[in-house]
Amino acid sequence: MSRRTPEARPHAKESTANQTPENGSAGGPARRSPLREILTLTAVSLRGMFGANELFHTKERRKLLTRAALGVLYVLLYVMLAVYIVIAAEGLVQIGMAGVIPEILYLMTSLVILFFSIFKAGEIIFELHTYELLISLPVTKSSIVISRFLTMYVTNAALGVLVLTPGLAVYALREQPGALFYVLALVGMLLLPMIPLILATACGALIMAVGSRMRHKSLVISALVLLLVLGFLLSGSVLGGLDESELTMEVLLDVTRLISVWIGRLYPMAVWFNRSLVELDGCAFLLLAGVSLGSFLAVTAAISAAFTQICNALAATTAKHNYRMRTLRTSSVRRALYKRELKRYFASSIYVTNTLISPLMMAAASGTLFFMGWGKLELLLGFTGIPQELFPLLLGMIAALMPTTACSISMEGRQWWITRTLPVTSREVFDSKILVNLTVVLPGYLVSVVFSLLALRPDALGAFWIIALPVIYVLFSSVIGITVNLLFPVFEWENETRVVKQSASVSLILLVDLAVDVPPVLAILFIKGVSVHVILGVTAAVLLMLTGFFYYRNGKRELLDL
Amino acid sequence: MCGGPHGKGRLHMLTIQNLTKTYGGGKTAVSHLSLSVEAGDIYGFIGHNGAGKTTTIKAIVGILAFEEGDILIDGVSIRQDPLQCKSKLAYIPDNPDLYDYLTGIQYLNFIADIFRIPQRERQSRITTYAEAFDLTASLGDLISSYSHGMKQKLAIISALIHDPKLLILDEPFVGLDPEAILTLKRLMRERCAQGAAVFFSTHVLDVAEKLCNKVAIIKQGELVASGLTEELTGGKSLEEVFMEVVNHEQTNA
Repeated sequence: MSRRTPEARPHAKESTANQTPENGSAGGPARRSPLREILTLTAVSLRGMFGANELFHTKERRKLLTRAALGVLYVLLYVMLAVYIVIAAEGLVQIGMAGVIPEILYLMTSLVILFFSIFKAGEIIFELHTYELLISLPVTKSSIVISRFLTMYVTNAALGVLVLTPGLAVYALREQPGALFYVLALVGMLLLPMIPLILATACGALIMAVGSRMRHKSLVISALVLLLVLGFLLSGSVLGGLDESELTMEVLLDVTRLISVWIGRLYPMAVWFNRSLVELDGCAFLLLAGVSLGSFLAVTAAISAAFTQICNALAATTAKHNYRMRTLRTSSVRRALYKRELKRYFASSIYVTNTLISPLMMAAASGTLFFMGWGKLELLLGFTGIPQELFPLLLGMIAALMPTTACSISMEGRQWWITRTLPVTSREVFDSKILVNLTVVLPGYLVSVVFSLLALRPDALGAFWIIALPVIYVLFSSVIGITVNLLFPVFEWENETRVVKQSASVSLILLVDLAVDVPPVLAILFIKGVSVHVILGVTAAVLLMLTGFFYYRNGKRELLDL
Repeated sequence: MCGGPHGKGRLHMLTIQNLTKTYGGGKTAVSHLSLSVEAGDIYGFIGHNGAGKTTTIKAIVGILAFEEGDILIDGVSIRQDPLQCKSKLAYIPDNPDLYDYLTGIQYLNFIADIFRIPQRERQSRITTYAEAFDLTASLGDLISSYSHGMKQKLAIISALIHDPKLLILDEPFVGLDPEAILTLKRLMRERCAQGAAVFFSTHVLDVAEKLCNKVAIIKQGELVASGLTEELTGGKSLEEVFMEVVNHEQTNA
């Protein structure tokens, strides 16, 4: 058994070093300063992110329209997020807890950056293909590594500023702090992404390293990431559990301190940020800046030193070269497409982890219902007074959250030519993608149905909704996923993150989910005296009609038109 | 060299009629192109980079939509019945991006399933072609571990599995080792001898001259010369003819 690894390039370092007696190679052009190198490389990577360069240079009207629509979509999503943050911050002010706004926001934003970066930090920072292209140019290895960190830093810093600003604005308006607050807030926001990025890189690399040594590495990586996420969710629910009856004003004031202590244990950086802003504590600020900046520089330097070895270890593939022809099994066209689609799904850890959350949450919600009861589930979900008969609606909404189909066409990437040249209909191709989504949701669905039936012990109609409504929601989201991906397909991508996390269709599916979830919820809240079964029935009928309409319409699309 | 004189009752495996393709930005990549490939032809399609070769090929195999004209595969329009056309042809792109997450044998078996090849035939064809390209031992490995040349060989084997009547290849010799190039040339000749046709683009004029019974030269999206290789060259080398035709067109422009 031989082991193929991407060529290590010891000579690359030497050649770069030979050319860089600081002022350039003997007789060759003078080399740029390291800082300019880093900035140039960072600018090039940033141009490639989110399809920005394509937007500026494309002459195709359709692409421009797509980008414009995507821009509007992102603005809309941000406005929704900002409104939510403002409402939450205002709520904290109203109950006299304005003093914890900065640290809660700092902690939450750091966790969001950590959570999203774990999926991509390893793949972006240790990506070998572009590295091999760049290292053959007269640039140093450390410039490449630093530019990659910087690329991730810039995007995450922008995210940090966008998330923190609405909440801090509420604090500033209500508490009227001095000018120093604004200076410290700005610098603190710029420091925020550093530690989460370091942690994400370490976790991401570790997960990839463990996974790359296994036969089914994507599955192992997915399992490790999911374990990490579940651990995080579980710690949140365990630490956050307080009964409503216990929430007196006295306790609330203590809770401010309790929250600070809890956050301090979990993430001291958030507390230092809070002290800097609320108490204008210079020492806390210096500590925050020193730890963030120091750790960031130290980790970047350490990774630069061992970069090639880490890359080669992570990207190692095994090839046995010992195959002997054996009897081949035949399948029908539909079965062959389904098997291929399923293999594609499980080959991408980021695709799996991003979409497996829905069935896991279904199982978790119904498990909580079964083991802890309806009251505890209400508390965890953050609302009370909802009739138990609506639990199927909740299960359906969770099941429809992130269908695999929403990016399944884009996931074909540069291999899309294969499907388009095969003698298969668009319906056969889309059906295989829908079937994969149903397969992925199936285990979570079965677990949730069993737990829900056992916990709620409903009558025949109630049992019917528990069984049928999640199925209807999943069918709807599967078909709508294909529909939105047909609207915004992306085939030219280097990293799966671009499709699974950053594509228009994935963002749009969240809005579609919201659009179909809001009407039944509003009906329940505002239309009194109507049976829950009627609301569920109307919801099911509308969803089925929309599913049928879009399924028929999608099947009419020619693969050639994409 | 396969093929023979024009017409004489031979089937038209590929007919391109007045093909025009304009991209979104307004650039016309191919303009009013017409040509015909008959059964038994090995047809070379040559031109500079950006001349419109790949665009034409992608339109033929159903990857690119086009505004004007039509493309007939064995008499069937790719616009009207793309499935029937696709079941008759096979395509190998210049850069074979295959399913990295499948093993070589899984990929070949998948293609065989799609083309509904019976078990015995697929087994026999895969065995024959994999041995011809010395790829059998690697068929159990993931395609992600393959080199460019190995992927190219796998793409060629997958293209031959369903015994296509028309083989469309875009720069097929790039990345192949000398032995594989010889094997591919042999297979191309064999297919033509059996009544199929091969249409391929290339920059290697030497190969085109020796291998093709017909060639077409495309420049800036327009066909500037086409016909039997022997008649077109008239005793000169194809390289000389190509340069003459291209320069003549440039002078006229």
